[in-house]
Amino acid sequence: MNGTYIPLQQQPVPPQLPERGQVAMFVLIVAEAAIFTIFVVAYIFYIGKSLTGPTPHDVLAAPIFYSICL
Amino acid sequence: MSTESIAWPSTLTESRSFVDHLHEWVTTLDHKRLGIMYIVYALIFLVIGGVEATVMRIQLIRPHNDFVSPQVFNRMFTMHGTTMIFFVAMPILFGFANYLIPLMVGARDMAFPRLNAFSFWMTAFGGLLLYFSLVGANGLYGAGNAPDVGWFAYAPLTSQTFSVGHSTDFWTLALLVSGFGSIGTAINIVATILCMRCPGMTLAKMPLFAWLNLVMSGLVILAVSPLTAAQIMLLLDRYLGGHFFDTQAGGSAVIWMHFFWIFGHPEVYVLVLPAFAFASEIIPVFSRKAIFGYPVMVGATVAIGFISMSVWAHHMFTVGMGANVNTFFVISTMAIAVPTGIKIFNWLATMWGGKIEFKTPMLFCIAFLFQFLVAGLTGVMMSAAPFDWQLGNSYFVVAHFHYVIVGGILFCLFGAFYYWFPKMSGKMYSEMLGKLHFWLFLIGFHLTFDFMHVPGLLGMPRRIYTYEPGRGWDTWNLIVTIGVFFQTAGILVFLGNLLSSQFRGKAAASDPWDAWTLEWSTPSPPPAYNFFVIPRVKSRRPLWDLKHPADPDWNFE
Repeated sequence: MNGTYIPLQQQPVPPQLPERGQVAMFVLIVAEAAIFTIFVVAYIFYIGKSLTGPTPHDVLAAPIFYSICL
Repeated sequence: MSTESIAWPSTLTESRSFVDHLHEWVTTLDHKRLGIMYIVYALIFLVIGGVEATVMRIQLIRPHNDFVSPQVFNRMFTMHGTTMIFFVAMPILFGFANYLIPLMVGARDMAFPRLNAFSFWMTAFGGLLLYFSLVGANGLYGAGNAPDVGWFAYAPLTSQTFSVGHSTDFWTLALLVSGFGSIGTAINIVATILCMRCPGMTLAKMPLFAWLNLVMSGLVILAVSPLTAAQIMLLLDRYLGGHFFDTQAGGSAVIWMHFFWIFGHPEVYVLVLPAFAFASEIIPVFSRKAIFGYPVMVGATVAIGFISMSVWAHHMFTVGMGANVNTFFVISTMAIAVPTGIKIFNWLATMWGGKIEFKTPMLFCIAFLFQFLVAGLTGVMMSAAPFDWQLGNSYFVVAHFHYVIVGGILFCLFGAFYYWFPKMSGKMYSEMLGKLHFWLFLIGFHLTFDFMHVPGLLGMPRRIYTYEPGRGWDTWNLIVTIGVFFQTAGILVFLGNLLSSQFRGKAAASDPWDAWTLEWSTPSPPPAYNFFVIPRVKSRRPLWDLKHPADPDWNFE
């Protein structure tokens, strides 16, 4: 280094601007909500469409024991 | 407002090994370097996607051609569409946003530099995953390699029954992964614009570039997320026995269409809003006038953002959704032409009475204005459901959306390249080569996409592998393919200009265009920390105020 000082410290955020962490978290929640909105729409769309089954309960067995082991 | 800056310490610019350079770039958190990496990455994929388009056009140059097999042709149009949308257009626009937004709003970096790097590498990994399918998608099934289901991958073609092997999985996972990257970048852009602006820069004093990218990021958040959800459901279908889109087991192919196009149409605006942002910066500078109707431009942008979320099913008029649904989407699609038309009038009003300088960036923006107008007019034609019933899935549609994406977005992008190249590289480009690129590409574009409308009107379906002679399509397809060679020549001149200017170009001043936004107050290229002192602004054109203290803009805003 030739000794030149580079002032890299963050300038104080002007008080009128929102806090970046809060804004980012809000936008992330909106994005997640959009994803789950589509899942909910799909769920509502398919409610009652299959009257004979098999239902998820019939064909899916949650591997709880092996999950705990893993 | 201060424009002071200092150079890097000398030891940091001394010659170092290639590995040191590579390590610096791979581990960088600097928004400018990440922006350049996005752009270079997208340019590489632009060449790959362009080669795929050329292969398709050579196949269609004459009837009964067998330049490639039908299977390879299917892979070419799938990879071309997916590559151009997800791994060229989005990354290149994110690259410019990354590079320019902190500089324009007077910040030293994006709000979250590590998230920024993570987002880039997720996007990059997505692109590599898609192309790894060429070697990795055979899997144990020994069937297929690159994805061949089309860029919108309609069900039930994507089911295990019809897409044996792993090619569709690579397509799904590539989009899923790059989608996470896009959402991360969008969060970062929103947080940077809302929280990192320099003192004095209220929302009403932001450059239009920042406004348009803010709305674009909002659309990414709302539009990419449904695609992510749909991809997860498709994976459940393919590997966990789900039947969301399995039509033989009670699933619905139409709901995949809805989920895809809820993403797919706002995506058009995700791509075109940054193009509008480029035009909104370049046209005023080369017209030597402030943008006409700034508040109306902001309002039109926000209106486009809202309306674009309610037009998706115009891609599905031929499905048979019923009169009421069709009517709603006809009206909403026609309505979005209003704010878009307002923008075109405002750009024209900005040029009206100005001292127009026909530099290369301005030439591309002027061409954009006319071509985007035509693209919008064919869009309004297609928005009428009965018209769409006649021409849906024809080459007329292909010509329409290439008019939007190439004639609108890509022309603005080329303008942006030439406009900000001196800032990013510190070198001036060759104006002669820039204009040669413009004319070659303009001629090629119009040969290809003007004449592509005609075989569409004559009934030529999109994605057709070959065709019978004597249907009136032969000559039109020949002209369309000849246009591609002009475009290819233009792209080669463009890449040659960038490379030769980078290594042998004249040094660029900090403000070669006598422009008005904050990025031009920094040296070319800007130092790592952007601003020695965080600027303080009082108007939308802070550099105008600095250069004309007797006649500052803030007297009139």
